[in-house]
Order: sequence, then structure tokens, then C-alpha cells
Amino acid sequence: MIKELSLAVIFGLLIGFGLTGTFFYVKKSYKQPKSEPNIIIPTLAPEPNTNQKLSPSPNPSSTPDLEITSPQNNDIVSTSKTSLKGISSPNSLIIITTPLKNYHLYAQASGEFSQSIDLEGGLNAINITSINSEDQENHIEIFVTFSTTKLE
Amino acid sequence: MTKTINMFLFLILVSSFSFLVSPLNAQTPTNTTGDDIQKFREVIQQKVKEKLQEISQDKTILNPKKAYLGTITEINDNLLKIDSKTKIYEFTISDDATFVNLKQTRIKKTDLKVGQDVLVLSLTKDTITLAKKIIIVDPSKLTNNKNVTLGKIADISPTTSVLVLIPTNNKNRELQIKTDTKTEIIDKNNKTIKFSDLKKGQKIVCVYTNSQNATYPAQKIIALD
Repeated sequence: MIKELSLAVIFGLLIGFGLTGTFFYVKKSYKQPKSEPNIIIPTLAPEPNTNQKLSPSPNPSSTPDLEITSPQNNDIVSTSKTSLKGISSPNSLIIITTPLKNYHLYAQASGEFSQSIDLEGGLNAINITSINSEDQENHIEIFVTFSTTKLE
Repeated sequence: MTKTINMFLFLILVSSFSFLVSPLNAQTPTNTTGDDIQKFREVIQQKVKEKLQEISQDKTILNPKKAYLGTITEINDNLLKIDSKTKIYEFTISDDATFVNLKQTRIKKTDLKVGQDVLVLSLTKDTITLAKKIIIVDPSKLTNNKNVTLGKIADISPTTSVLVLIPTNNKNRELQIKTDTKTEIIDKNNKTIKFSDLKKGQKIVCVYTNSQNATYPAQKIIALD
């Protein structure tokens, strides 16, 4: 009786695990292409081909950086004098033209610049030009309105 | 015998329960190389940098008072839309808004029409941009008609105070620049110089205004060498 019971246990386990194993083997082989970890490695942008023939036109990437940090475009200011601040290429020549005056200054080694400018009443279209040491130019136009109207 | 068969079937049943176990998605080692890891790092660093920049930009205090120039495209009781040529702006007309015409006299809201050029003084409160003052304007009088050009003097006439400038960024162009007593001429050290001090071949920056004829009046000349 014990012998028969032991054999039943062994065969039962063997058949049970055998069926399970076969099932998983079939399942795995069926899903093999999908079950592989799908890792996409981000690649860097291709390097520009340095061997290609250079165009005679100026390289746009060499234009000096130019950003106005204050005042922001379309700002309303309540005084006729405001400080125009920005950042450009180091030591660039900065030319600022407003409806009233023209200003010129040099950006610091850090690229930062600041100029007090006079504004006329109403809308002022302010053009800022940056010229770097390689004689490359960049232009920006911002609009600043001088108004004492209380908007609160 | 029946007991044995029952046990046999029971064990088959128990071991077959393992079918119900969901597959375990354990991390598997990948065959990424050192270069790939480096690329991953660079990309992640770039993303973190961009996110930090976004956060710092969000912290920038924005002026709630803004003025926008544009043409009215839609106006009704409390809605105003203007086209600034680059963007359409939409405003809620404030209950206490004022309206001004070209002669700086007050007008009614109903005097504003589609197609008129206006300067809208606005105030942003929460998510609403209120139009507080709407001024009819002539945009041609608001444009900055000054140009700045870097170039070399191709020719100079001391008798007529006219010089020919070839822009550095467009050597096919020749600009005829005329100076007068109001023209500010300075050297690179910010020292005032005379027109006669300018020489052919000299590199200059010229601020001049638009002109109907071929000669542009210079407002400022900076000699760079």
C-alpha cells in the first residue's frame, strides 16, 4: 500500500511538473521575440560632416548670442528712464537704438551688459544689435511702453 | 487502489496550479557597452539640466502690466482680439477700461472697430488678461526706423560728407551714407572725431535712418580701427 502510494506521489509530481514545464516552454518560445527587453539607446545627433564643402555664406551658428533679461518684451514701465539689461557674447559691441537716442557699450567678459535708456511716452520700439569679435551681428527688437496710467 | 488514484490525480492538480502563477518580470542584465552607458548619462544630464532651466524660468517674476500693439480682429461687449502679426492676443475688456483715439481724446467702446490699429494696456490677474486702456494708434509712427550696420568704408567724399559703406554681412550691397552736423562720430575709445578723420578701408558701425532716396542719413558712426 505504502509502495503504491509513494509511486502515485512520484508519478503525480512528475506528470504535474512535466505538464507545467512543457506549457511554459511552449509559451516562452512563442513569445520569444517580444519578451526580450526592448531598450532603445538614445543616440546623439550626428556630428556635422567636416569634410563637406564649406558654404561661402556666413555660418549662422557663429552669430553672437543676444538675450534681453530686463525689461521684458511688451512690458509697461512707469518711469521715463529704465535699465536695459541683457547677455551676449563676451566683450561684444552692443548698440541700442530707441526712438529718442542711440547708445553703445561693450558687454563684459561674462557677456552681461546694462544700459540706462530714456523712453518717450507710449510705445517704444527698441532695437538691440550685438557685434562680436568675429564681426558677426545679431539683432533683437523689443517693445517697452512708458505709461503712468494706473492699471490697478 | 482508489485512494492511490485519488492521490495521483490530486498531485497532478496541485502541481498544475503553477500554471496560474504570473510570470515574474525580473530585471535582466543587458549587454549595453560602456559607450551606451555614457550616452545614457549624457542624455539624462541634459534632461535634468533642461528641467532645472524650466523651473528657474517659472520662477521669473513676470510683469503683470503689458502693452500689446495689434490690429483689432474681434470686439464685442467684453472680448477683444488683436493680431500683432506674429500672434493673436485675447483680452477681457475691463469694466473700467478707457478708450482713446489718435487725437488723445476719450471715445466710447463702440467707436472701436475691426481693422483699427490699437495699443492695448493690459493687466493680468490670475489667468485673466484685462484690457484696461485701448489707444488707437498709427503703427507707422511707432516703428523704429533706425538701422545698424557694420561695414568698411569703400569710398569717402570729405567735401560732401558722404561715404560709401559695404556691409560686412552683405558685400554685394553699397550704402551711401550722408552725415551732417548732428551726426555723432566717435572712435573705439568713445572719443569724438571729425568726418575728415574717417579713412577709406576703415571698419565702422553706422546707425542710420531709413530714407526714401538712395542716401541714408547717419545718426552715429563708431570707427572700430
